[in-house]
Amino acid sequence: MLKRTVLLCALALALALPALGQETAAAAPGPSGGVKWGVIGAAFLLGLAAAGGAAAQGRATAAAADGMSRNPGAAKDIRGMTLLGLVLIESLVLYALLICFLIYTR
Amino acid sequence: MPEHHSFLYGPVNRLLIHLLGAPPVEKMSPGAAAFFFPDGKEAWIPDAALMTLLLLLIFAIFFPWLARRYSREKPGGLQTFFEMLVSGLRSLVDDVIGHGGQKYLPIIGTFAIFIGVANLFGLFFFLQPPTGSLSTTVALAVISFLYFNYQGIREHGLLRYLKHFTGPLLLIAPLFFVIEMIGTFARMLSLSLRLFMNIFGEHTTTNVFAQLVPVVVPWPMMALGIFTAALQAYVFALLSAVYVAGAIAQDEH
Repeated sequence: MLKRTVLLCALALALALPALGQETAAAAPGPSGGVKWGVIGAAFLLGLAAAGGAAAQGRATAAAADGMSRNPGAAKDIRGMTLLGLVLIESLVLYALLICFLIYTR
Repeated sequence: MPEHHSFLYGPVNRLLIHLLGAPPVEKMSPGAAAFFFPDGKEAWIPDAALMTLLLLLIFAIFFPWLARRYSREKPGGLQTFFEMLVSGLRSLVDDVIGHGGQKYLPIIGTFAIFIGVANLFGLFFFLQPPTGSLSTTVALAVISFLYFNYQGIREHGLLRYLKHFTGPLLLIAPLFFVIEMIGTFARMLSLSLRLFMNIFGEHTTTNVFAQLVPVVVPWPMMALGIFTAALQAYVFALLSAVYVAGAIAQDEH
């Protein structure tokens, strides 16, 4: 399992090697005439926010499924609380999306 | 990305410009002009407000008609659907607020139904969702904020209500007060932003997909849009009910 993961990561990195070939793209003038730090920042922000949000929502859904399977009588209450929790986590990801929109349109 | 307006935007604004002339943007300060006429000289009423008025018209025609044909012996499908909706909202309010709950059913139910139908406007190509504009969502969040604070003040009186913000210990009361105040104002921010970003993001993504591949690819996004529309309406109503319950909570005795 570990060997497969390592092989997959090595393959992904190898496939990303052509990125070294494009020197001119990163030097496209940003607002200060240099690298577009804003866009890079926005991309990283959104990726990080989506990753964190997905991890949290996965844990929430797993815990909800676990709870519902242990106690089917409480399924309705658990479902309500789960939906509320998922939406609150999602709203945090959406705040990051809002910042990205603001960066993009500026 | 190109602006995409509803089918009412052009005709209504042309009619208003014909009747009243162009919006008097030059006579106001730039801030006031941007507030009252966000589209500048070409529109008296922006899309979001126009769609909200359309929604109001639809509700004002549909619900009295529906109430007129209420029949206890032979409820049709439509009446049963709305009875299920109302009983769902009743149970929501009862679960969250407890025994004083039915007093708050009208406003919580209005939030749920208004936001639900407003979000669903986004699925039609000739309409724009009013909640896809920050104006509408902030307005709804401000109404919710004012409402639960008003209920809390009405229940407890202003000073006792403010005392709830000071926390358990007298020592850290100033710090706690500031934190609680920020948290309470942040509720307004989070309600509006959550609704706006969900619907605006959904709408924009569906538009982008539809521009790329017009026929089959937008459909999963639109299905997600239906789900998100109902879910966001439910969550807005639920959170409003939770805030009202928190504001009127009697925990002294």
